[in-house]
Amino acid sequence: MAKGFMGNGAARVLYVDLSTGTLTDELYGDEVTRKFVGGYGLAAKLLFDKQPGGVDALGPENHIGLFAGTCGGTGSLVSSRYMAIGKSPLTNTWGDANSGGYFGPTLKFAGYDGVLCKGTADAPVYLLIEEGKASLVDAADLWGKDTYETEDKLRTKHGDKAQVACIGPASEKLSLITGISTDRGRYAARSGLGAVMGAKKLKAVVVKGTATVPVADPERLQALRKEHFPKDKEFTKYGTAKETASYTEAGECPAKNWGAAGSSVFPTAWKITGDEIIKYQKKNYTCYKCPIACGAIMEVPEGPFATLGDTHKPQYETLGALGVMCLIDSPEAMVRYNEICNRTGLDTISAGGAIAFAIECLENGLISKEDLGGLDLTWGNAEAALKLTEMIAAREGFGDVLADGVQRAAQKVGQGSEQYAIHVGGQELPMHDPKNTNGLALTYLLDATPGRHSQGGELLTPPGFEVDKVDKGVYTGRAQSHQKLANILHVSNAAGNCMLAYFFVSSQTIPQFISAVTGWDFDMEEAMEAGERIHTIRHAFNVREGYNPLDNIDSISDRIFGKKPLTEGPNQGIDIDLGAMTREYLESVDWDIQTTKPSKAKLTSLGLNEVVEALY
Amino acid sequence: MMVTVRLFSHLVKYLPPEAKHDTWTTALETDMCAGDLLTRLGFPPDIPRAITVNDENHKEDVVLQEGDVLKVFPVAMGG
Repeated sequence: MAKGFMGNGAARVLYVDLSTGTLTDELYGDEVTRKFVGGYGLAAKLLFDKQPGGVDALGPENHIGLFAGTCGGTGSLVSSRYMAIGKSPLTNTWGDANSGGYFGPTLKFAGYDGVLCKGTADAPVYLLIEEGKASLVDAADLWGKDTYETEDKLRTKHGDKAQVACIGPASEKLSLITGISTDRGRYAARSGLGAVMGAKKLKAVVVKGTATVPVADPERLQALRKEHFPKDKEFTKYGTAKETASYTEAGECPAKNWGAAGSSVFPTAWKITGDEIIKYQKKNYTCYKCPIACGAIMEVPEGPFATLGDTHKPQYETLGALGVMCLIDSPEAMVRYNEICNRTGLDTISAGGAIAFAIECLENGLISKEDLGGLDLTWGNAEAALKLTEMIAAREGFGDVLADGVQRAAQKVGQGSEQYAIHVGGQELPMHDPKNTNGLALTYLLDATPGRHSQGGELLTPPGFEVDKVDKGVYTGRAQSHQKLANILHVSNAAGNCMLAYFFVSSQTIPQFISAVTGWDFDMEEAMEAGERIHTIRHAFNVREGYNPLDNIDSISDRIFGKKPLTEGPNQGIDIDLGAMTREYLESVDWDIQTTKPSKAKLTSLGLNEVVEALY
Repeated sequence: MMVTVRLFSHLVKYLPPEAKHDTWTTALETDMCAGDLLTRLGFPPDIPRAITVNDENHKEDVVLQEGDVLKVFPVAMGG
């Protein structure tokens, strides 16, 4: 059983039934947590066990979970992140999204490693966890407020030390492209999990506490932190915002709704890159005990894109999604777009994809200007794009069609608009083109959360991690490296690490930090096995849902993998051999090459007997 | 022969001082390959990068020709 009340590898999870108002605790000891590294690895195990297949993602049987990392709140390097999990209403698969800031560590200071909520409240509520005690509180006065207002009100009530995870009005309206906000606009944006909270009428989770998270070997932890303390002035200064122009030039960033690539179609990408963005910066900030400090607060004080106040610096994904995708080069519009999305709850990637989709539908006569309420929605028109963003958040006019993502919008528009709907499995793609980074094809198609770039693979090759080097345009010889990269990412996620900050720290330290915090004799070999276990149980969740990722291949836009190759630019002529890549990978991980169901032998070798019972 | 080199993002630190912004045009001896030029600029062998010559993907053993434009990109990472 648990070594301690919490920490040292044990986990305390709060179960909330919003339908009945019941709150109960469960403790998990090493015999469970170690297999899944705790954190969201444990969450994957619990969701698989507690939730039957086939539930309505917006119904009471679905869960929304918020889990801190195993190393969170300990001073371990770059371990500030929490993970939101649940069945995604956007993709109807396993869903997750994570974010940094202070919520994850503070959840642990409040006495819990994770919270798992099911049911639906009769009226809006928020969950308050203060010094190990939890309660549900009426949230009628918060319903309808944006995330900044919500957080401000809750901080006024519960004090500055309280941390808040909340949803905005777009999530209340069940937009499937919404996420969960902390720190006044940091986002667990993907998978549409904001809508799950909205459906449950759970406006916020407030955490506050002063507990010290136990560390098994504090001296070793301090020594590791000192030895591997990263510094990167460039990344601190710009974050990922410095990459817009170079990724556009290289063909990494898709342009014009994936209809083009390269700087010739968008020569002014530099205007939404690096110094052009940070000129609106007021101050840098850091997530909990992170040495990198790549976050920043900004304000556009005046002009047509003036912000309402302080807001977060847009990341590369946001700049690509509104900027390069829609050919908009106004840095002020980028900051304001970020603010609109962050206040209302919209995922900046998905909203950008939805706007680009609408531009093409209008350009090709599939919808009219009248359908858009008179908006002159053309490539590069920032004013129209921001107005449409507000319409999506409010489900106003055509915004209502776009509010559930481009797959569902294309089903409503019809007329062949599917070719302009850039998604995999219903989720809008991020700003990384697999025609440039080929390994992403596997991540987009086969990870349990389709259409995600941040789930391990070639894009996320951390330093100190040996993988097979395969040239661009070669579609075999990638499977084993892909699996290793996914495995280490899942372990890092479970620890609560930031994938970006870990680009500045050797990946060999990941099991070392986990070991120092938990006391486990945890090495890279065990980490790889645990990572595969997390990867597999997430996928098994989807198999139980009746989801086969290979079914997506025929329904997704020809643009994504180059079935209809580009005729100019850095990605011209590239047609990814998806069949070869997927077949090799499925054979490598011992999943059925037609159904993708993991073999009984594979599940047994990973100790996933509960999955064997569910799937066989 | 004259060759133009463009480096992107954090790789610009490998450009010589006479470079303008991210671009450097230089005279090179014939038969020099892209990898040799990067070594001459001080690129560590293990720094992740991708190159194009005249906007086409190449390996670093590609031999540069008069008028070529060599672009060097940091390998993409998430964010």
